[in-house]
Amino acid sequence: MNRLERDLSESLKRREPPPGFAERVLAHTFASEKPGFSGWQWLAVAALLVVMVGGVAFVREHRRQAEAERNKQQLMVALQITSSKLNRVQERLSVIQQRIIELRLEQ
Amino acid sequence: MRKLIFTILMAAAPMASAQQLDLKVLDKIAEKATSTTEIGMDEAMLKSTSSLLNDKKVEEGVAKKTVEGLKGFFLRSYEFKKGDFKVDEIKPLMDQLKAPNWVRFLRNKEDGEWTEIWWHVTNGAYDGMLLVAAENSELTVINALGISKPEDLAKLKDLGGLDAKK
Repeated sequence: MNRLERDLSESLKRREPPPGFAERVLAHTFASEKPGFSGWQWLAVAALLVVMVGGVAFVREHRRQAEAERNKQQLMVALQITSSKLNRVQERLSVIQQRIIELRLEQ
Repeated sequence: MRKLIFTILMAAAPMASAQQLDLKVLDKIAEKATSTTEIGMDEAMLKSTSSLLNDKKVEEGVAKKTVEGLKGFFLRSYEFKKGDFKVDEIKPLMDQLKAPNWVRFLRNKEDGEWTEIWWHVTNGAYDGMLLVAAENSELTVINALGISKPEDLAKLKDLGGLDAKK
């Protein structure tokens, strides 16, 4: 048996584990196991959902308000055009009325 | 020439049935307009929009009072290059006014300008108005549903038209 064989034999010799080794390994194994969602994690998920739902609602409301504002502007434009035309009609009627009065006075 | 197109088109399908007139006959004329303004609002839209108008602002207050009771408001206003539009072209629209429930209130032709105001009558009561103002380079058609008396529109005088804003 040469020196290398002796070293190998010595290294591979069966040895008893130190006291408490099995308990420590088991304890470490259980500690590293991932449990289900903790309370905080559930809270985070709930918060995320609230933010998402709130975000969608906010965007919808924003769109609704923008559309309402656009409708308002359109209504104002429509009424202003109508006002312009009616004022023009009234001006013309006033001129006609004035002419009639003048004609009557001439007669 | 710079072509300005200002078009406001709103969902027309549900409104078409509520209109007293088919303004689609003007679509062909609109194609050659250099400026187009088309506004259509049914009763529901007028009500929801009216609720947003602020009484404390003079113009919005006037607008709010004017649209109270309106059941629809349809406007088409076009501007053309001179010579591109002839009054005869709105015959399809004017033909619709031959129906017995339309009564002419005013017709004025002067200096190349032509204006007509018609009232729509249902069961002996006014319930709509049509204003047509045309000249060589401009056409405006306004159909207001639900107006029962000319005074309803008198409030608009306080609004100050677009001309006043220029």
